[in-house]
Amino acid sequence: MSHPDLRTLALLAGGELPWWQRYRWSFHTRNCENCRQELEALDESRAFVARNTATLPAFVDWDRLADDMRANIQVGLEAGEAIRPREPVGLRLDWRPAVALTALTLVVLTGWYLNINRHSIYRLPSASVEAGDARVESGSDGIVLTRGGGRMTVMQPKAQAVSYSVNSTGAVSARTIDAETGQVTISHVYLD
Amino acid sequence: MRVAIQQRPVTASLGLTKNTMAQADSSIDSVARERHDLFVQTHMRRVFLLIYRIVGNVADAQDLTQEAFIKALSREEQLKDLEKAAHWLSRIATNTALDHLRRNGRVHFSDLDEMPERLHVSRAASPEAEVLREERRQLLEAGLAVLTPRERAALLLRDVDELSAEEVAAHLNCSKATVRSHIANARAKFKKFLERHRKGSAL
Repeated sequence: MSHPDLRTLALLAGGELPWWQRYRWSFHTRNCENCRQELEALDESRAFVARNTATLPAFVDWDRLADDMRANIQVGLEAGEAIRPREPVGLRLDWRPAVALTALTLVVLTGWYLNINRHSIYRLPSASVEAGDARVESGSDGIVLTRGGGRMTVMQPKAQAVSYSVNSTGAVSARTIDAETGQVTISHVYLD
Repeated sequence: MRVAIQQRPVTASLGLTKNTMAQADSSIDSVARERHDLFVQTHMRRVFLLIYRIVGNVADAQDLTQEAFIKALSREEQLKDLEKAAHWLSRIATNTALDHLRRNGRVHFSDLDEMPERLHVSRAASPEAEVLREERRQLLEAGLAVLTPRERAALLLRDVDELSAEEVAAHLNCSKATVRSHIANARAKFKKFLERHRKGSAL
């Protein structure tokens, strides 16, 4: 039967061994008289250290010593305070909020840029159909019909992205998607 | 077009005078001072004992305890979380003591006749109890003197302050495996020391 060395028993006494070793040597010490006595002696010596460390030497007057130390600490702190340069009072930004702010700004700018581009891609300024003196075309507000000096506009919601198209049947179409409901509305204006 | 920008100091709009500002400053100082005092009072004995057990004499332990507290209290932001601050203080104390021993050589537990005059004998409950207590303390110190400073620090932090092996490793700036080795050596040496002492006493 192999026995643990004293250092292993010392770690077993304090519970620092990995669980499999702890299990192995705990089992062993239960059945080995010699190792059990060694372990008990280690426990006793640990208890002795823990019990007696709080005892100050008899010649120490703790209250007086503590007062001295407190006073010296105060003096030391005041001396340090006197020579330490004061930090400027004011707004101090830590690097973390600064990074978060920069990231947020980038997200907002990217969103804004993409939104601008979507409008500019889908809005076709020159979608138009002509028949005689009548003309149907896409305008800034919607589909515009002009004939003999008269003008009529089929308005499109401003808040939504509008895409205009001309199809082969001679119609100008406006297609909008409601951002909240996802509903698609298509308006056609034909010229015969 | 004309644009006019008017700037006013904020303190003026709040109705604060130089006097009230000074009062506010001094009340902040007194709050900080109270916090410092409480922190020192709570931890002084523990830190002193830790350092004393590592360096082995009262005069050095006194100086090093003061040094550890001044270092700790100079970093105001570390005192916000009191539990962390206590650990941080132990770490400073341990390293201050170990640095001292590194600079000044081996540990030397003081004898009674080497003590400064201002340290007086305390009045014990009974002379017998005091003698017994003193014997045990001397035995402890003799046993600790057998260990290396790092073994001593590891043993005290683990078995007296009851820190985990990971925390002791953090305090001593070394790996957990090294700490386990220090602790195992320290316990084994101390046990052998006590056994030798008992055998010697029995003779």
